[in-house]
Amino acid sequence: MNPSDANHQPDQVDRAIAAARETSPTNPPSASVVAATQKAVQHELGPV
Amino acid sequence: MTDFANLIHDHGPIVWATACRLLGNDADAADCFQDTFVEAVRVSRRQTIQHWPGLLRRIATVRALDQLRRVRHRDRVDPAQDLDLLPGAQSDPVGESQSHELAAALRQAVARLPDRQAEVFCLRCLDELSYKEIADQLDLTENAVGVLLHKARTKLAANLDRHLPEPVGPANP
Repeated sequence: MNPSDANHQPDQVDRAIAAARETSPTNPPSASVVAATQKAVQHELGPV
Repeated sequence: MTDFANLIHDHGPIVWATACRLLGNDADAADCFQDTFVEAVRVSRRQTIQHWPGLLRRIATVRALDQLRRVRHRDRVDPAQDLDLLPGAQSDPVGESQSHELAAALRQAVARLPDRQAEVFCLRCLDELSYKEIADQLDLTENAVGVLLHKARTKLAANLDRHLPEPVGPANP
């Protein structure tokens, strides 16, 4: 732990961080997102 | 030559988690996910990549911050209005509703931070990287990471206090 973290009391920022983490989607990327990304990457790479 | 299909398979979950925590929804995270890997292709043309997860997480963080800033400039909504856009927000229990409000306020406040402060804050507080990992990725000293994080937290605290209502207490006459 970094020294600046020691004795740290939870504040509004900590509560907001916890909220951002707990309200974020937890599902993995869908197959369609992965497929679209692979297609975009292939396009960027150009013909092999 | 880098096998990007394997790279997406192996490191996609890291990129996705980073994008989702910063952007808060699947649709925006999908754009960020795709942009991150396309940018990674471009970076890999210019330099040899020593640590793919670190690079991908950093690109995802920068791209997600860009998206947050574009949305902020485009919509100019405040966190309270943002709540109304969330599916089912009106019928959420109070605790969940407050969490969404806090998270929306944090995302908007992070988008107002200077680039480096925002990056350090996201990598430390949302992705939970160590000071050393952040310092290595951003080519900073650990002390500089601590200073940037402190500045970011101070600004965020002020911003959140300004935008979020005080807890409701007994009315004063």
